[in-house]
Amino acid sequence: MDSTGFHFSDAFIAHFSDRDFRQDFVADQVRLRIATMVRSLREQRGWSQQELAERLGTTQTTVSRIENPDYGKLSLSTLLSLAAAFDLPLWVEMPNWRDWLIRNRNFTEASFQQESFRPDALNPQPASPIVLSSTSALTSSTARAQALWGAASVFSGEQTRRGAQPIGASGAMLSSRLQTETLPVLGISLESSVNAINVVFAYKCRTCRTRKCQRTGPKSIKSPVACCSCEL
Amino acid sequence: MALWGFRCYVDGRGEDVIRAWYDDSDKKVRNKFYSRLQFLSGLPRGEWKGEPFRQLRGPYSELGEVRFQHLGVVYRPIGFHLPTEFVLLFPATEKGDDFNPRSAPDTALRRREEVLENKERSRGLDWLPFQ
Repeated sequence: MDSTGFHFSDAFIAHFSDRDFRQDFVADQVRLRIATMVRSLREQRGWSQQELAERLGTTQTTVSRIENPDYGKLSLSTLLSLAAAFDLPLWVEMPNWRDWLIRNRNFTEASFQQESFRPDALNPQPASPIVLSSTSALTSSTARAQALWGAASVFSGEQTRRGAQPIGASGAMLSSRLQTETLPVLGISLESSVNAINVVFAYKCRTCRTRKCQRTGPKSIKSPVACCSCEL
Repeated sequence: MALWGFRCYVDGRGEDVIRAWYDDSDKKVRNKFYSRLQFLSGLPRGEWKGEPFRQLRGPYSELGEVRFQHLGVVYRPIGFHLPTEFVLLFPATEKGDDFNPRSAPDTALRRREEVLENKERSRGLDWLPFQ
């Protein structure tokens, strides 16, 4: 057993010992994976099938087919076009069976969601724990943030990362204000560095319709008013 | 890790109707059925959607169908969710835009009631190894 600790049953191994079955299974799982990945990335960006089709220079029907795992005519060219539309790289490999079976077990939408290219994301700042003399007993980022800002501005990092939902009525009010006055905020999370906690807003630009992030310090919580790429 | 297990409807004679259908099916259909169940077993309930799974509507909204195609035939086995398991009730296919047989959703709904009233009317799907 390796570090994953994953153990396949004898019955499972016997089932996979049939070569025809293995090949059918891989073919269907790859199609399921592509269909789910495209839908997840599209929905993450808030695009309709029609919007993705326009970016690909094709029709909504074609996007609908791409998101159908029973449609088996996807070409490498189409995959590269999809990757370009999402501004993401494409990765293809032929791993060993054990690795593939373990990695292939996660098809959740969150596992597919990725941000488009962002220069500052290539060298992410390493997160390190903050030691605040007055709040040294506080351990979670939410608790630390509450100590700094008060409860009204605190959101759950985990929830905002996945679902972009602030916690509590006060958080909902703040999010609502940000949604109406500035750019649509998809999520707000906390990012800790050596000396500070920053607010990271994930938002969707109304002009270029891509998902972006903007950071602000704890003393001036400003939601983004213009996309960094589209701002004149 | 699997989030869902599967159960199959057992008729009045004690026969697992899903297994009987599976055993009679073409090998390619069996392989795809297994693949779809494997796929769905790892998804949170809210992500059972899209083409691989559809919730039925109207009077059948408690039911859902696992969808897959082979050689132009759309397979639509119908079932319903328990808290941690999906119970397969009827191995329908598609004809036109409707179920084949057309009575499949009604039969599945009746079978669902039987399963909910009597645990003996379903059996764990232990004849396919998912891990």
